[in-house]
Amino acid sequence: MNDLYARTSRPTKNRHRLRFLVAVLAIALAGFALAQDPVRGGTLRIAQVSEISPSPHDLGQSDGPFKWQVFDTLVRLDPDNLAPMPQMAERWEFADDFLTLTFYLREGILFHNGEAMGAEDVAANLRRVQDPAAGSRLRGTALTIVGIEVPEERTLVLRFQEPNPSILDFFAQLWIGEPSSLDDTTQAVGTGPFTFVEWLPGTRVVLERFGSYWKEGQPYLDRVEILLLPDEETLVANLQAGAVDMVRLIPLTALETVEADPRFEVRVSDAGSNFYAVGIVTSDPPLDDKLVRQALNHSMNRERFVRVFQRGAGEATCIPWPERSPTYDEEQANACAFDLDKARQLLEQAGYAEGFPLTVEISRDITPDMIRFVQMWQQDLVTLNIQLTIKELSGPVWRQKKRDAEFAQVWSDLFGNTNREPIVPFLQARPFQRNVNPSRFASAEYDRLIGEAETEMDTAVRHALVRELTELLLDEAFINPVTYQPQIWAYTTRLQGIAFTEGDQDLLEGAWLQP
Amino acid sequence: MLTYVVQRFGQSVPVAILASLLVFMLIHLLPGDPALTIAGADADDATVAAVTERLGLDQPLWLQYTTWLGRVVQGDFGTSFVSGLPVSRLIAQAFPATLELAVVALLLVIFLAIPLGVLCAFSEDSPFDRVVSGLAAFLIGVPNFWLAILLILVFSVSLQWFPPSGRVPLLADPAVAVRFLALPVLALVPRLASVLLLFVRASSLDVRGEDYVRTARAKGLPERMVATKHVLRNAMLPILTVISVQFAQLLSGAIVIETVFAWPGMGRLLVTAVNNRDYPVIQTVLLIFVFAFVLINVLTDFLYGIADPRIRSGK
Repeated sequence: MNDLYARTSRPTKNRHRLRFLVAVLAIALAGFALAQDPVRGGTLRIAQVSEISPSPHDLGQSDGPFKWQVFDTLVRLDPDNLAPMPQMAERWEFADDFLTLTFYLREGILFHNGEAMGAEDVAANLRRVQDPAAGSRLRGTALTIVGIEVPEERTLVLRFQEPNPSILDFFAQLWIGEPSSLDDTTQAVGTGPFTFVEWLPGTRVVLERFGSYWKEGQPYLDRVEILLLPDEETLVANLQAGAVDMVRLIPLTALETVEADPRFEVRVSDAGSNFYAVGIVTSDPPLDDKLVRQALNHSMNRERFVRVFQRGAGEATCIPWPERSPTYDEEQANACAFDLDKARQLLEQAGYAEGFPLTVEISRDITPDMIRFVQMWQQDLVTLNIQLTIKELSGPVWRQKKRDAEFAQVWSDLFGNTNREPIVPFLQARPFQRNVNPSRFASAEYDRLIGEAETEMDTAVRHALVRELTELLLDEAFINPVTYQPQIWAYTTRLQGIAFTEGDQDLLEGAWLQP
Repeated sequence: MLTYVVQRFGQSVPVAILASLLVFMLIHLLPGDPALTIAGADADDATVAAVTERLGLDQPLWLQYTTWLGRVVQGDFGTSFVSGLPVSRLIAQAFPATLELAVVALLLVIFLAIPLGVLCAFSEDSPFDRVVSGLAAFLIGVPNFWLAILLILVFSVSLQWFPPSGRVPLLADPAVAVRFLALPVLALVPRLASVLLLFVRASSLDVRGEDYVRTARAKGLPERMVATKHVLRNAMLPILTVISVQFAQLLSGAIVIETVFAWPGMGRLLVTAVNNRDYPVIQTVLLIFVFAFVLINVLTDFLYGIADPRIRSGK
């Protein structure tokens, strides 16, 4: 039971050597900083592009950094190896048959309104997430919980019909809100280090230090002000002008500018939580032939895209797993290397040596960097006699088409959830889900492997099943990862103690500003 | 005059209703489901259905429209699909920001463009006229977003004189507010002032050749008096039209400028709402734009009467 989710961290690759040296330097500097005591007080001014949503159950990826400051979870994942760690839950136990999970909550955790947080509150949050009207993206996993009991004030017992190996990942994503505030989508009453004070939509958000935060002495900052900017191009200008202390998710084009400025620390996520991909619809010719799909996969020059357009910040890959994932396999990650001769050979084998017209549907709102990729791909495909037409869609239209599986041939995708227990994307991310994936891909083998893995509690066996699934993904080539989406933070060197979650979201509970 | 104003507003009501109906139909014709913005493309069918029901989007279109219109008549503009906040609160936050930017920018435009335009007309083909008119023609072609970014780089990043984005209400702290207003106004003014300046110049040149101007000069009136009382006043009608159009454009949101400078005005509110398919916000903002255009037209008509007494007396 103890080895549930046990994972090993992976060695840093050569290409990260420079980052490694920078990290060593940062650690040395951090060591120096730690030698000083954290300083209490001050206001951290942050700028970001995305709007926030105060509801704890709206899991907009983009406003995670806001939610992590106001809300808390029962479990956190270790960013290094994705192992579950106690957070608001002091400990947990699975029954021998894995059909019961008991959480024991910490004592003395308060909501921002002064009410004590107990097991009943967690139960109320679970019931709300199960309600379809709440619109939570966690509902699918929440529905695997068939019984919720609160035998004691700080003990929560959950019952399942089948073992659920991804349940602790679910609790690492479920922010707990004060139950009476949950239906008011304009309020955020959590147990996190900062209280929600003011929200002017599209303008700014103000958070203040929560004096009764359960982690002794934290947070150190008195106030966090988040400036909501509509244009990512102005993020760095605000940082350089001294209008803010930290910017979240700056564009790749600004990376060199901030890296060259000694006033700022820059953090580039080196194992992404979001992956860019090219999806292929498998229902109609010529794309119903997997040899054609494999040919397309080999015709994508991922390395060049990463080098030229991502400024080396991403990593070319053929699989949806970041390096720290227990199911990452270097051989699989390089299995679709750019090889136009091989692609030509596969097309000849499939009877499409003369080529065919192809359309890719893409939205700049969803996959902003991928427009460059498909333009580059278009040129390579010409050598295979494939005429690629690029069709741009607005964000809402793209979402609708993805949901209704209405893409015609090929689309540019962005999926997440791969930086967790590896079975999760097959259950939560639409491009991988059975029956509803936009590729309209179906196979008995795929169903069998997911079916077995989703209830397999033996970690080694489950991960072996996921590796088989990865092999199947490479063979069928219906969803083809390209690279991860690098997430870039830049902040003043005065900011110390900032940490990041496994999903590359900043945690400010231990952050402080050097005077 | 009061009866006239009331009549004009009365006429605007059917225009607004028709416009709101058109807007309603058009935004529902746009592909993209607002429920997916909230629930996400990965949501299951039950979740999307429940969110659709919660937003009232499962009702027939005519019922959705009449329900919305009925509420608007009672002063209830509904709730934003995305933020969950009352639309009236979002408008109350965005409209003063837009009004502030529009009024300050327009005043500066008027104070710059009218005197310079008249001076150019009175010194036609002089080096002054050529430089100013040439500069104005050039500035009309300068894209707003380019100028905005240039201003940020120079005055915020390099010199650090003005903040690059954000807003403090003018009434809350005028000294700080002016610093926030400076760059958006500076980005807006050159193009608008150039358009108005060239109009004032052309209009003044037309009037300058009239017999009554020659008569005024023959009477021995000083040139300044001829320029202000005889030329400018008679050239005012087309100038007023241009000013009213510019004001209406500014009120309906200087979208690019609001985006670059993170100015939380109506233009930004509308663009965000369209991207999110936030129907209640889109409908309300566009309804306000319709009323703003009608109001500005009424005001312009009123000013025509002041500028030209023949219009007032109906001659």
